[in-house]
Amino acid sequence: MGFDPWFTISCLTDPVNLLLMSAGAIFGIVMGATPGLTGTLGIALLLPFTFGLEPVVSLLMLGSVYCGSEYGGSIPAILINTPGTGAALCTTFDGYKMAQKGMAQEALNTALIVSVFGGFFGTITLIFLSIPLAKVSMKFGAPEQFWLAIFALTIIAGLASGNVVKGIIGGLFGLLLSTVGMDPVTGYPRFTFGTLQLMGGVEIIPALIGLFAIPQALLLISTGGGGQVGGFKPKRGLFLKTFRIVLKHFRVLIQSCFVGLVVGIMPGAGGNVATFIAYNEAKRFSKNPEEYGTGIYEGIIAPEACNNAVVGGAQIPLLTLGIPGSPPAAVLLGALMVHGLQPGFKLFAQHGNVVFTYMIGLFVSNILILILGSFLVRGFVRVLQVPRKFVAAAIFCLATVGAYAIRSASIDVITMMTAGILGFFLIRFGFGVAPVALGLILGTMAEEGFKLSLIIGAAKGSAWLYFFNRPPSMILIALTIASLIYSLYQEKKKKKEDIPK
Amino acid sequence: MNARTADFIIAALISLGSVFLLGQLQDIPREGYIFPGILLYGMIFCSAILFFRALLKSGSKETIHVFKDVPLGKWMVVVTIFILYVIGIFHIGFFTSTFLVSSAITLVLSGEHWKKAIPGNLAFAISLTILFYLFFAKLMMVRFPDALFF
Repeated sequence: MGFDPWFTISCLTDPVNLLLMSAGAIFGIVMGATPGLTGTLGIALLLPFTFGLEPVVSLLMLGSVYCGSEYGGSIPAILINTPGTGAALCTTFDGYKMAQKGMAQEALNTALIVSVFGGFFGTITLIFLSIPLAKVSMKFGAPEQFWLAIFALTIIAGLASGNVVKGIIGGLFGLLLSTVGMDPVTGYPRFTFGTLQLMGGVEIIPALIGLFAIPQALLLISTGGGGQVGGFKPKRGLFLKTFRIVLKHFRVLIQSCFVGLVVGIMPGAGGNVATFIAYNEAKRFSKNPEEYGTGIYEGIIAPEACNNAVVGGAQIPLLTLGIPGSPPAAVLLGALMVHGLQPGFKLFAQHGNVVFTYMIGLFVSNILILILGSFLVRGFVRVLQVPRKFVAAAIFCLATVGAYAIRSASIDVITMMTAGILGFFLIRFGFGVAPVALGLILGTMAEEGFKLSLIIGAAKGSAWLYFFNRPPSMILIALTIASLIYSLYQEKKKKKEDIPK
Repeated sequence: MNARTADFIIAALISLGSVFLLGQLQDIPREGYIFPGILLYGMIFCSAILFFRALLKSGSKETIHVFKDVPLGKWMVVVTIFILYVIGIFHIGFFTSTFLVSSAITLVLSGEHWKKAIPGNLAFAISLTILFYLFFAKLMMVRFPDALFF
């Protein structure tokens, strides 16, 4: 593993890098704190502006956005009973009740402290688990490369859209988009319809910006409003008091971090699922479960520690196998690929400095969030007062300039716009945008694995045997089938639950 | 729209689209055809499942509201402004378009009190344009398209 500690230290103590990470963290907190906007959108919007940076700095900045957004979601959840992100939904149960009791600052401090703790927990596990898992990826050849992409897609398809068949169609559509342009083997153009600009294929980043940013901006048309929060005046001296109270609930904290970590590692599940489990488990193990939902500290500790532990957990399969554990991790996968960093053992062996600096940098990001969160909380609360019409207009303009700035090409802006409008309908018709985005990101890897397997398999006597008979392939196929069955079971169960309602 | 009807239409559209795209692959050698070909057959297969699942849901009252909480009129106006923006940046100029578009979108989304909101909207549009100019043109050195205006 090529890892130079001095490189990491110099990188993480560089004032410019720290400034960029702080900017990323603030941007992430703002994204998380604005209802309707998400960390995924934040990473997608910021991605084009990190192109000119060193890969490690770019990843550190995007990682800070991811960490910041998970904490930011708790601010509106506590103050206005509206979760900033899906993962902060459970925080509303007790956070808003605490705010109603006049304990808004205590609730916000709790969310900040446990978010940072959850972030630390996830990062430590990421560092220790990623190396052994990356070694597993060494056993992977071309067929496994293909099956891994299919496995990731089936999981995201099942969990992200809620309708397995529609999710798979979305994933296949994403894979199909990745085949647009000149075929790398034969040199023949595919699905270009005679357009020269499509010869190079569909650019991933503009498509990601469109898929994640534009539908959100279009959905903001409906919500309108903004400015719902009244005056919030933080008092001094409450931080340490809150810290002591949090320490008294250490068991809930650790338990929730574990839940976040395990669910985060499971590809596709993400914070939305994890926080519900963590909240339920905390309630189940509590001596006074009836107090949950009345405004207690544990009700904030469980979901907030959990959704930040997810950040580290979701990046374990991302960095080691190339399978994102959550939608923001899917966009981070795009960032890795854009910088020429292929997840897996090679990433650790050839770019050890980058990956280890990034992982250790997540600690620094969390420390920055702790500092920024405690000093700039009044500013973040003001984000809630910004009218949604301004947010929507800014997203349209930022998405356009972001798509254009990548390589100053008109086709990228058109790609972003088309993907954005399409994304709105994909969401509304139940397909979701995450399977399409992941299909587009993993398409090249899947096709390469598929074609190479056919060629090597044919040379060895049977392409089919080579495809299906290798033990790692068999495990991945079994996991794919199991995830499909599980997703179908979940879908059926959810429908049964919905019928009485 | 009834969810069942929507699924029928979507399944039919996906199948037709896939067949059309399969036709586009005809002149390509096998190596280039096989992967997208399998994907397209996969999409036809999945749309058939979607169709049959919809068929089994007879009597279902589940609905899909594409524009339930988003007014269709406003949506269309905003999307049109967005499309004009994308065209405008290459013909009118990036910063002029940004100013016009941010003013227009905020105006459309201002609702009943749009007249009162005009000064605030204009202040926002001017600030956003200046911010974009300073950050993208001056700091990040992004070269914007040569157009009629700035």
